[in-house]
Amino acid sequence: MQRNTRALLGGCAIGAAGAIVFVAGLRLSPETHTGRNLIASNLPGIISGSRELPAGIGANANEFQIANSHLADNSTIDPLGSSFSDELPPDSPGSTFQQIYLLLKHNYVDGVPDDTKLAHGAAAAMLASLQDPDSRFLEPAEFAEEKNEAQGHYSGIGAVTVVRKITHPADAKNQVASYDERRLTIVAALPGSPAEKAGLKSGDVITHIDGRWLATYDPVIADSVQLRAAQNDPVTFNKLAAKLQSQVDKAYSLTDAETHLTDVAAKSMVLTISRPGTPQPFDVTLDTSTPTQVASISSHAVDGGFGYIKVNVFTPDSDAAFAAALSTLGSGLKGLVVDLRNSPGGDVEAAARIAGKISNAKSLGTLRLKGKHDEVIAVPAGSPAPYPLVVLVDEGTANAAELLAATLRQSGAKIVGTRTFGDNTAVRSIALKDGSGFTLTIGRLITSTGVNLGDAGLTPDVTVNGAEDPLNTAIDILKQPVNTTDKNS
Amino acid sequence: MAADMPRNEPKIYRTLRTINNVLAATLFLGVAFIGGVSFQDFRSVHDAESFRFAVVLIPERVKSAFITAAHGQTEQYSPFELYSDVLETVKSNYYGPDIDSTEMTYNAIRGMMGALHDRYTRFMDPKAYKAMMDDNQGEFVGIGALLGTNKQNQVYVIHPLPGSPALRYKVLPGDIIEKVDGNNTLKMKDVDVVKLIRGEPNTKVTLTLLRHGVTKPVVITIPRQMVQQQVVQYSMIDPANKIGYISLSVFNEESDNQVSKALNDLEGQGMRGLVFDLRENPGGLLEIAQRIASRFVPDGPIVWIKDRSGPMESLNVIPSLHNYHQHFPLVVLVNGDSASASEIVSGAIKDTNSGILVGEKTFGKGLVQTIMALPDGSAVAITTQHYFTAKQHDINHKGIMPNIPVSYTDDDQRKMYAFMRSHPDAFYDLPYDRQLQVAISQVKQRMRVASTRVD
Repeated sequence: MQRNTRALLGGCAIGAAGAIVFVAGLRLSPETHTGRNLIASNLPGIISGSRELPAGIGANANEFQIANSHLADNSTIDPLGSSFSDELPPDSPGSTFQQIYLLLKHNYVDGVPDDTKLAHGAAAAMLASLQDPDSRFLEPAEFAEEKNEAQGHYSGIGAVTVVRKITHPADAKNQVASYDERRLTIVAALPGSPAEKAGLKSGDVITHIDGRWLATYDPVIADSVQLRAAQNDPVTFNKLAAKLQSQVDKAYSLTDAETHLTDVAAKSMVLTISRPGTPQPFDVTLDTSTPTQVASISSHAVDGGFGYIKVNVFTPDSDAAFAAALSTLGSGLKGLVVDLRNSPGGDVEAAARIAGKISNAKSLGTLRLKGKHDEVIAVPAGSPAPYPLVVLVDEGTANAAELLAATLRQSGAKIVGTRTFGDNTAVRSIALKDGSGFTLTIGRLITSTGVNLGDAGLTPDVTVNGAEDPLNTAIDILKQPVNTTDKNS
Repeated sequence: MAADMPRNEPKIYRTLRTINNVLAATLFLGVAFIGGVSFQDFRSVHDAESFRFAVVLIPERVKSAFITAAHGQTEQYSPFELYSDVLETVKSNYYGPDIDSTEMTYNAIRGMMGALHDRYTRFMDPKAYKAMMDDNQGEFVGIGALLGTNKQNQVYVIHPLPGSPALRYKVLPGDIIEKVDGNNTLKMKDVDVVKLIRGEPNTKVTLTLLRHGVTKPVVITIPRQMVQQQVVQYSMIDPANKIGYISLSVFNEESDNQVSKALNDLEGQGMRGLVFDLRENPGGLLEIAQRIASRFVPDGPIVWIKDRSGPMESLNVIPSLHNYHQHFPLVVLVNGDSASASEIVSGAIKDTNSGILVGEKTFGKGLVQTIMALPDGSAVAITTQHYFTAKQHDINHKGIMPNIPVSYTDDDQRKMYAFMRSHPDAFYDLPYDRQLQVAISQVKQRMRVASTRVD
């Protein structure tokens, strides 16, 4: 039973710009991921003893579930306690919650919805208040969906998205206050996904879903010039105000948008896209009736004795597939291209195991948890490739893929392509006893050389622009004599 | 337009005031947008705070409640348990700012209440609850000056209120407030100036005033005292025909006294007909609605109330209040922002033919909330009852149709706005307010019918 340990997932976030990221079709899932080394045996802040809510994390890396039976001593979890009234002062938060629950149950005029709805409403609002779309509540059906995704099976649009924060500066001349806009941005459309078929590209911003605006900025500030201009005309002002109110009332929050973009029941979706360099936003219709099945690994031989392996997404068996691809390519390779373009991340553990198959790296990097507690992401002892390596990256290379690229560079590989996305968020999924669950941002990824990927992503050794085929550039590099000085530097 | 003393503003002006509210509300919106707070929650906060496009304060009965949680509840996985699990997990593991358990719990409560999909069933944190209680009490400690904002965005005194410290200490209409206790207020918003002027009883506040025709600023130190909110404004609007006008802005603890006083004064002046203006009145306390309706409705039920399990029960006219007043033709002005307590009163008047309604369809809120205070200073408003009008009509989501519908054209609205801008002291707009004009002519018509009958 390895549910509930999903962790570092694809779609994650960005640091420097302050972007938050979340995953839209790609949520690597339960089984994937993290591995034990990420799930520390001593996560900070975990209380031992009878209140061990999160003790599951420590007790067993792969069974992070909040459930009595998972606790070592089989004791009932009673974090605040069903017997709280013995322990909690009446004015404590827990007591306030319970009192209001009872007041609703006993007084509401039409009878209250069942406890599950009340409980899930509470959990969803708590997580939403973190203002982090990576941390959100999942109903049982949504939570179950994550397990499929672990196997490369994605419902919805099949793209990884992030939220990038842009701060619009104050405009003193027009009396417009500074405000933040959060753009739901495509990191990568998965191969064969509805998003890819519709032509969505890295950097595209989703502004509407089925015509409903995403509440990504405050329209009152954004439109304050117009509102002020209408101050002396009640008719115009009231029309503007009514329009804004209706826009706000109908909008999707970012959390709702994330839920909708991965909705297994949605047969089709119209997305309004704002694309950098394209003046007008445009609509694309996605046929989302069929889930996307993504093969983790694909490979082929390249003329001249070279090999090519592409990692589309990191799933728990990516390393086995990678090993199989290596053996198919044969033992006499003169060089290998590892293609991590448009690879948004996934199972960090699997990425570490892949690193072990072609390098002598000791670690893939570090997971920084709450309280600056660092966990090393160990690479199992392996064998360095006896031939040169080139890693292809682009702006869709994110998270675990970026860590792998950085690690291989340490072992002498050349990085070719364009600057990577810069996504350092570690997210884990956590099961609740009734089958629902939630995702939670638990840390940040740092490369083995201490680079925080969120700052700017990775800059390639050789940048490829425009019409050049990066694969040709990669092969040209592999054809050059190995420069040992370079390798040791 | 805000005030040390809230002013009972005519419709058009109040509508326009939303610009300030909208712009002031941006901070809240900014926060809500980011996170995608659950939408229900978002909307209720909206209502409770500054967005007042379709406000809905409610007939609310305030009572204190402290519930001791049942011991040893053995639910399979109770909301409390799930909440605790999520809270503790997030607190221990979330990579981000430290979690404030109290705030997080309040959000959990908002989410739980949001699951009811009833915008009136809502949570008030201690600050919001205190603000609501202050509003309902209808009084505050200040100097009793009605304040406005002029075209240069300076806050100025429209006029001091009768019997107020501001009047006694010779604050004059038109005085611009330059400083309050030495703090420069020339670039402040009216609501912030109000905060500085109000304070504790038996303390003093020093105002520095710029007065027309006086070169040096006028400095006055004024003792603060308890001042009643002015929720009623009234006058003999048609002195020739002895037609009175009373406007009520909200149903709070002060409302019944002030309506009664206005009626007595107008009756003393020989009033023969009345326009009672409940436009934009969002409601308030149920008991106050009963008392005010009792002054106009002769007898019988005013409103019917039903909770989850009990029978339909009526709140009836209080005879001592009714018998105190004379009978005269009555027209009540209503519009789409006349809600709850306003609908109880106007519904009773219409159902019993005690008067007629002129204006626009009312808001349509047939629910009663009970407010229950909690030991930590927060409170909940929970919808506990449905109410029905005197003839047991359900008005929820439907509203009440006026006997004589009158709406405004765009042109009317622009003229009314211009009128109010050029008459900051006016509380009605006789030249351009078509609803008011129709109301007055209806009163006249009824006065003729009445006198014909008498003859």
